[in-house]
Amino acid sequence: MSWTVAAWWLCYAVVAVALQALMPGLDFFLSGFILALQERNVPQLIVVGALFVMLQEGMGSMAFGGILLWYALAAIIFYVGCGLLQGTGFLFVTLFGILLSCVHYVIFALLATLQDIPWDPSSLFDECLFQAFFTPWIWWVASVLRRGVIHENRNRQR
Amino acid sequence: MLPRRIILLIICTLLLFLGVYTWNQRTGQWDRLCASVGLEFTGGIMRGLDSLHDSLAGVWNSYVDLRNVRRENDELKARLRVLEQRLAGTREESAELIRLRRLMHLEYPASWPARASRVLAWRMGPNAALSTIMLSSGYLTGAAPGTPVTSWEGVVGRVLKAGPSTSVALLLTDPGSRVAVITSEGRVQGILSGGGPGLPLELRFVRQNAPVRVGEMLVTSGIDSCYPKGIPVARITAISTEGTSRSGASVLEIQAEPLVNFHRLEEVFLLQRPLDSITPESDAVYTRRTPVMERPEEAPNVASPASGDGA
Repeated sequence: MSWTVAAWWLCYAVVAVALQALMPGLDFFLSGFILALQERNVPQLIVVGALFVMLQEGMGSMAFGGILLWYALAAIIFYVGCGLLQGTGFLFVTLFGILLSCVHYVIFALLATLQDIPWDPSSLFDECLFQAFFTPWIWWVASVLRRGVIHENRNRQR
Repeated sequence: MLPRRIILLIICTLLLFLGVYTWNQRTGQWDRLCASVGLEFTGGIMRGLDSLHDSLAGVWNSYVDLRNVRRENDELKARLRVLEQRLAGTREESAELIRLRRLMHLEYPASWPARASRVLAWRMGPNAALSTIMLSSGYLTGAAPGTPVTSWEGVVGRVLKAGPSTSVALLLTDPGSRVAVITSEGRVQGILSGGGPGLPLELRFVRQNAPVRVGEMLVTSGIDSCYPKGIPVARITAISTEGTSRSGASVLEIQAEPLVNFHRLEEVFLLQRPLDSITPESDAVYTRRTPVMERPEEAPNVASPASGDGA
């Protein structure tokens, strides 16, 4: 991972934290994780995934595990989905976002029940709805910006 | 990829997750690691954004938006005069109280020193199931888990988890929050539990004929050893006589509203436990289950219900 790429991910993390502070309950790291999955660079995927899981689990208030399971299932669903559709289009990410929101609903409900934390189904449903809406748009903005940075980086290396 | 391999992969992931989850529930290692790394990193970013906001807002408020400063200054001066008069009145009463305590050899608990801290953010991320706030102090700066958090209005909550210089505090309004309180006039003890965001607090285990009234203040009783005695917590808003405890005993159903306006919270105080004070039986901040009490008279034993089942 070059310094430019590392700096790009760091900037992404800062923006995602700021957005999460503005909109409670939503995950703005997920779009970045999808981007890392699409690039199929395994060392980068592991570093980015570990960083995002650490951040999400650290700022959350449930016991460790929910985000880890969510991101692991996201990776599996992504590789399965790539066998059926082209995994780089906006439509794919939209469908992927909807599916991941459903997965998040189930995981959150399961873990909240396991930890005896009372949860409100309607507010969780709203959060998942917003998550499904925001995920493809954040991914689109991030992929456009990232394409620019990577192209510039490659041009400089040449 | 073959369907059988996909199913096998999902089963392996779930088994791995269950292993990590149960190991963490027993040891808490991953939670501690995430609090030290993830929470600290988030706190650093939020601190940077907060100072950026402060400097921008400071320039606007100090140099541009000065329309109401004169009027506000006059109002504050008038309020200062009223408060000075009130202080002069209470100074004599306070001195008399100290003299009387000394005469009666009444031992009074040592005061809890306070440290100020900034509110960096409210609940963040998809993993935030509880009503919490993020603070700019960690276990190195006086915000160890269990530390009481107050504001000038009253009790805010307790520190739930802490990194070296950032922490997360559970708010009074969360359903998992419990505070041992006493009514300011009737001196009736009970346990105040959160009702959830936007919902009233609930005062539990108060017997039917207890002398309580609407509008009465609830202050910390101090018997749970988690909070010092006498900090204002909430005000009673409704009383119903139709309540029953789990054992079938008649109790009052009492609702209360917190004194703190959580939406306007910017700075808080972290109260440091004096060295000679009693430490609570359990450091559990989040109470998972509703404590079972056989009789309303058993309410003062508040340390025991949370001791075994805290997060």
